[in-house]
Amino acid sequence: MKVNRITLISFTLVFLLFFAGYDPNCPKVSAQETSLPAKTSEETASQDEYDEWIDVLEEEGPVPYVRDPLERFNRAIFTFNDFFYFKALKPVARGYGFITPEPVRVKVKNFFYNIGYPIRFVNDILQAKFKRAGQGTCRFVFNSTVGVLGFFDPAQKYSWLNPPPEDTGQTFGTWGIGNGFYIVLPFFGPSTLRNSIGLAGDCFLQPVSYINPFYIPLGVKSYERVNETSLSINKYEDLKESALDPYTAFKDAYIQNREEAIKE
Amino acid sequence: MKRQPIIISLILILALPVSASAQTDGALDFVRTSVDKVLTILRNPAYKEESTREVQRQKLRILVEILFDYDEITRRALGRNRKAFTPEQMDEFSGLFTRFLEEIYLDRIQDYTDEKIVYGKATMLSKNKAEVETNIVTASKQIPINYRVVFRHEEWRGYDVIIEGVSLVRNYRSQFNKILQKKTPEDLLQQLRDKVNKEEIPTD
Repeated sequence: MKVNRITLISFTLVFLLFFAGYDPNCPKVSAQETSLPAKTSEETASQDEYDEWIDVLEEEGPVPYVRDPLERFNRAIFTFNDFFYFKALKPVARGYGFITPEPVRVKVKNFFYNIGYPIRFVNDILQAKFKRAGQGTCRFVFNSTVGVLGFFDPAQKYSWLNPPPEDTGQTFGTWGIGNGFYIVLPFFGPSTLRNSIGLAGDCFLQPVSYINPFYIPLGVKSYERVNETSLSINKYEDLKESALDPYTAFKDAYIQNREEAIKE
Repeated sequence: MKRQPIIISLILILALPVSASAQTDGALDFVRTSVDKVLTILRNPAYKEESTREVQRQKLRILVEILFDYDEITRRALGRNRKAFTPEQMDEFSGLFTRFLEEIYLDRIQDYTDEKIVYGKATMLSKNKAEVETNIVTASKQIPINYRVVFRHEEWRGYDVIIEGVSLVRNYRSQFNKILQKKTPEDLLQQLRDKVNKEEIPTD
């Protein structure tokens, strides 16, 4: 078991180093891309388009473009995940939600968020956000004691006790490592190369992962997922329904959401 | 003589934040009053019955049309792809996309239960555009929803909604880009027609 983990770490490191140098998504490239329409608009003399280009630069910043060389494969996994959601996850979450009152599910969610503290703490430190590391620690201590092992969330009332959560994928992002390319993971959903490695990093930082035998952490994670889904039923359906190309809609939403989380 | 630059800079320093804050106040007021009007209708117990849902929807539609500038949203969502459309196609697209967005937005807000809305601050994005932060607070979570508004012809109008960091306009733009890579504007129009018609059957 131990040897396995070490090989996994070294594997991810090699992978990471390999792709760190190969980054199609560095800000320079996207800046060039956004400046292209300006040149063409000089020729077509379209004031309208020029305005729009200015708007985009002004408000949206460089648009992160994430390549998708595995698109066909990704679309297949996307279809599988969709099927899995409607045929397994959603019915289970529905049934669970039916027999478990919402306040209880909220407490379970609080508990899981609270024990995810090591992920946030280590990544705050790695991103040199020491103040947030302190705030997060205060929150953990406060909720673990006054909040009875984290089931209650008395810290919610104090905004300074609720710094935005950091994870390993975000740490890589702040270090300037690009997304790599887009991947749809089975069961987990949208991700990128960088964030998939980040996900593995988060797993190492989660004490639950170290419980033997392996099916205990697996069961715990599955339960957490069912609980989470039961609290956000219809969120997936809503986004899917409002999309004209659901695959692209989820991809873009994921990239935008992650980009925002890195900025925070 | 020596004093003049100091006085000028003092005036500038004093004047700048005032004008900026007056503008952000305007943006914040616009979003707050619009959303509050929507909430009043949503909370009105007279519309709790299933039969009055359509009446409520009609009332909401009027308010939402004031809140959002659909032409601006369409223009931004299509971006450079507009060039591929003929004027007739563009007109039809504009109408369809407006109806599509409206129906989706109304579907979402009509499901509203007793969530609380907390208004955050407004920040200027450029000289006539601002972003207003709001938060929807439920028992289990907080959803940040920011409205981007533009001041034009002496009034504020919304041109983008950012939910959990995801800009609606940018999301649709990426979809249109993707679809129009392989398909024609006519195909996209047909897809939108199908979507809008499907949306409207259950509400009739």
